Amino acid sequence: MVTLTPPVETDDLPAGPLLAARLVVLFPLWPGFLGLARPNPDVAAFAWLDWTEQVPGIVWLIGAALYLGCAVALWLAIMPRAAAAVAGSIILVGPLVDLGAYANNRILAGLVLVLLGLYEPRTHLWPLRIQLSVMYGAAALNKVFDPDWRDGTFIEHWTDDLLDLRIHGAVRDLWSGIDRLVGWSAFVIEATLAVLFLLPGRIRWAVAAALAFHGGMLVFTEGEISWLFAYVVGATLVAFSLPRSIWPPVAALLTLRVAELVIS
Amino acid sequence: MSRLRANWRLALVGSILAVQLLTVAHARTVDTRYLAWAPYDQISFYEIEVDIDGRTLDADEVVVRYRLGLWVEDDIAHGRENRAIAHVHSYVRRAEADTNDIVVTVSSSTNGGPVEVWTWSP
Repeated sequence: MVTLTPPVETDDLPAGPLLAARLVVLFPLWPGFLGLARPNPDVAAFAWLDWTEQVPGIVWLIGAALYLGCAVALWLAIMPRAAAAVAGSIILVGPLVDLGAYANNRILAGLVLVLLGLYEPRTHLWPLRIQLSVMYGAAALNKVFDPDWRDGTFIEHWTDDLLDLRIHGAVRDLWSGIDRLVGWSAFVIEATLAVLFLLPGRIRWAVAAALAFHGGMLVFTEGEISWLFAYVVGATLVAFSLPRSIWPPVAALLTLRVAELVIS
Repeated sequence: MSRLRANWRLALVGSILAVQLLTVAHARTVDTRYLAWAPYDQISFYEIEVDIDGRTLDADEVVVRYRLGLWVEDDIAHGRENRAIAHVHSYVRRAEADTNDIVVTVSSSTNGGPVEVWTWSP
């Protein structure tokens, strides 16, 4: 058995975080999202970013090319931390300079890559755990303070008027309280996830619960919401799912460092 | 040297996480929900009408003017906002801050609720 956790001075990532970064960096390759890595400044989210409209298009094309270079570097394990940090930063630019591209899945993907790029063995994956805790905690907070979530109005409108969910609609016909139950369940689950990710020794519970939550959401919405977010979260959770000590051939395969293994 | 680099990285990580805590807390004090991890929290459908110098812009002109992913239906510019209708209001306010003699009317329905009318005239 070998330990893939690198010493402090190397520019390296353990197998789990590296695989997670590799999967997250593929996020813009989802169908219909090929342009995601190329920010297209239009209406900036904040007034102090209005100047980005004046940035020549070639700069954004260079950014996209740089992103692809980082993705290749990550998959070839060439300076993986730096590649992850740069790729994540490029993804984060998109939602900030283009209101139409503002999406939590992009922001999460960007932040995960940046945090993995800043990986530090001393803190291992705690920054990522705190990140996920903040995300779920904030999502729960937003919902619990919204009366439309508390009384089921949002869920009723969303599932009936917008998504036209047949199964949920059939249940509502039998019991009108289902919308309120789903709303409350969402923020109870999110609040629980926020806590679980911070509990030492409970990371596998947190991973299992998060996967169940996002998988359950896909089932509940009959495949409508949200494949992209589930992909980013699932890819991120891979970071926690591999042990730090892995059988060498598997480790070599995961990190694409077969030549390095043979030499050693 | 490597210790210094590591500390610098940790400081950056701490800053990224701390900024998010601040933006999440800030979102509790305002109507907008930027950087607050608010996915599909309030779904609003809205229409925008614009009068400049006494002339009403047609829907296509409104779509071009605001570039918010609007579409035209029944000669009216329509839009959808998935987090907070305040995002549309704040953008219109920002976009038209220096425009004279303009009246922008945003009529919106959030989560299937009653239509609310918001008017901007600097």
